[in-house]
Amino acid sequence: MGGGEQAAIEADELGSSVSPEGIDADRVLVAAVLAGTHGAFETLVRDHQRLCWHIINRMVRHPDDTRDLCQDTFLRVHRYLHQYRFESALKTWIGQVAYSVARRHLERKRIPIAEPSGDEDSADLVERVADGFDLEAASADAEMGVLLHAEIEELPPLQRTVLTLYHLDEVPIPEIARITGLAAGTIKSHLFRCRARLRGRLQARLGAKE
Amino acid sequence: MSKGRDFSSEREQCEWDAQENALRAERAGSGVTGDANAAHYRLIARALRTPQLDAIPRDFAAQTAARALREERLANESLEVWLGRGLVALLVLAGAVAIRVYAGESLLNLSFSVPEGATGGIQAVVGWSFAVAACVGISSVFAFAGKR
Repeated sequence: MGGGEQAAIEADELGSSVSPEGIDADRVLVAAVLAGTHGAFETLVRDHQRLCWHIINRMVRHPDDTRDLCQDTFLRVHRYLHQYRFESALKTWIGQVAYSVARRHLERKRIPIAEPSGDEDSADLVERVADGFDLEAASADAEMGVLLHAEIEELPPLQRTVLTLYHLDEVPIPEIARITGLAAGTIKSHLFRCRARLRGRLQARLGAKE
Repeated sequence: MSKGRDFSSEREQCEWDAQENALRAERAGSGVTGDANAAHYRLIARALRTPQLDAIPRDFAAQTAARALREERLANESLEVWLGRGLVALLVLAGAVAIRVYAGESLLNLSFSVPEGATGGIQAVVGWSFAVAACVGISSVFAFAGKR
């Protein structure tokens, strides 16, 4: 069996969207960093800074804290890269480090990262979302975008992060589960409940305007 | 993107499907359909794809890489310092053991009596030894301060 086939099977077993080319590229980059090749670590940072930044910024929200924690994440990656075993994509591994750094920061500040599960029944959320409201008006209204951004900011750190990873970074649910250490079903539930809640808030605001 | 049926109620499953369809349509940039749920979730998907995030500093990667290399160099230097200290300690210990094993009895029998007329010479040697030790000490302090 060739290396590419093996990599494809590994990627498939992980349920991730990483292609064999992606895994090979990870191996080349990691080998270059470990060999101390000039500029290799900077390339690694540049390749993954966006995901790392999104996770940490969504979790902590403060720009200075985000920069410090993001840098801390990459320093840890640099220090422990020799322990990376290619069991998941490099992106996922770095995401895990970023998430744990941000989570520890919030725990130190005693900020809860997620609301307790089960405080709002998902069936209730769906029930509250009625069907009749003026959609065309809503689509045309830029004010709704501002409202939604404000509502997203009000979500707990974990939910904000999960939504950003899924919608903005297009990270598949199994990979988000790996990054956060939660079950895929829990991630799906967070996505479902948050989006239903946002829709409820949107509708409530539209109702109040009318 | 998940397509499995993980919701027990049909209504929840429909809601999930509406959320996912809106996400796919938003990613594809296709037009808004007349469906109420879809249009709702299209707005939400659009907002989620354009979050109000702080921008990454332009030179973040270069700064981070430089800091990582600096920390690695410092870690290596401190390792060298500790290795050096260990070697000196080992040398002193080995010397003590060698003296004890090979010359213990002879040393006890040595007489340190100073010959007549040699006092001035010994004082000069002791004086110069202190001067050399002071020079080495000052240089080491400056070298250490420079590294800090």
